[in-house]
Amino acid sequence: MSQVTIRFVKTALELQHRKPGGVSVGAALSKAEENLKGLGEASLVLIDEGLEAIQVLNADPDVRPDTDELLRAHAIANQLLGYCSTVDLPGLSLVLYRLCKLVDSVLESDLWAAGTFGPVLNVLRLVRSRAVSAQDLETLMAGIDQCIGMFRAAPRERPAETMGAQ
Amino acid sequence: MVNLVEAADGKINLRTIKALCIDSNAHGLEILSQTLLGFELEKITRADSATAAQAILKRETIDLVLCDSVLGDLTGYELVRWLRSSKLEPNRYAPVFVVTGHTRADEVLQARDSGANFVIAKPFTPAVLMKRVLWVAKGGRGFVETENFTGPDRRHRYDGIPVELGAGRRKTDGSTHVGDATQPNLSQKELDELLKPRRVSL
Repeated sequence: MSQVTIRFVKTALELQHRKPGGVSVGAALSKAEENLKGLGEASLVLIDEGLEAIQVLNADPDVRPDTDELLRAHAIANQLLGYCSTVDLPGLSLVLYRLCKLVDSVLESDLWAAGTFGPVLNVLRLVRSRAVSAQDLETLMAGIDQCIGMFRAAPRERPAETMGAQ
Repeated sequence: MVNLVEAADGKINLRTIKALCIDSNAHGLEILSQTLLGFELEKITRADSATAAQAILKRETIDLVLCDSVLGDLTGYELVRWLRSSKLEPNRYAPVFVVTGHTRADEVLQARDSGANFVIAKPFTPAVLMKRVLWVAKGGRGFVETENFTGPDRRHRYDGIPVELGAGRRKTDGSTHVGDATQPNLSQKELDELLKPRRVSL
């Protein structure tokens, strides 16, 4: 049987977070949100660049993107997800997350259907230009979910490739 | 988890906490740093790679680590695993929060076993991070070292047997009515007597 050691170590965070002279949790949150808002403009530029770069997935709708392109798109979408907390673009993070899931399920599948990435890329454009209502977005995302489900359900013929580091 | 509505009236003092933010993406690094600056941390060190972070962790005392799961040279999880199994005291015990986007199934296991205190989904909000920080700051969790895992105890509070007995549970696992006591309670003297250390000869 392997040995298990449990230590009880007081960290600096435990020791100092209640010391006098702090700020209220509410004030700290407001300040942090304000700081993030200040990054919004730069984030929008990066989001636009990222969305442009991701279009490579649908460069030729009949051709399945190669693994490198899929991995790169996954990495970009993941980065853009991080920027969503600094901008007010409702639904952007949800659609980006679905794009990551779709890329992942395509990577894990042998299936290819022409124009697989077309709808999700179009929804991203709509969300970016704030041209979609919440209700329509729900419906569009349900369609993307169905597409993800189709790839996940498809039997795999060749051995799974590992995705590697993002 | 900490209730922020209740905690909002409370105060938190992170001024003297030395934090390390790590992200290979410059804008991502700015987002992590600005969130912590909002929490009034005054000592924030930044690293744009796992290698740079390792050098800082070897050199300085760090009280809190906030890192992205994608660092280029290593994953965030590999960095945490390295830190936890290192001999760098007290840094190896420091709270670590990993921020991640979409995570593949195999990475979920890596994340669970890395030794991070929390893995936070992107886009993370200051409120979510604050909840995690307050929860970790409460303390009381052991630091576990085993052959396969080194990090904060992942077990959570035992809340007793579920009220609704699931499949496979014995009926006696459920709560039952014990009834009134049939004998008087033991006195303090009798309890002390029961617990008194005794010399035993074998």
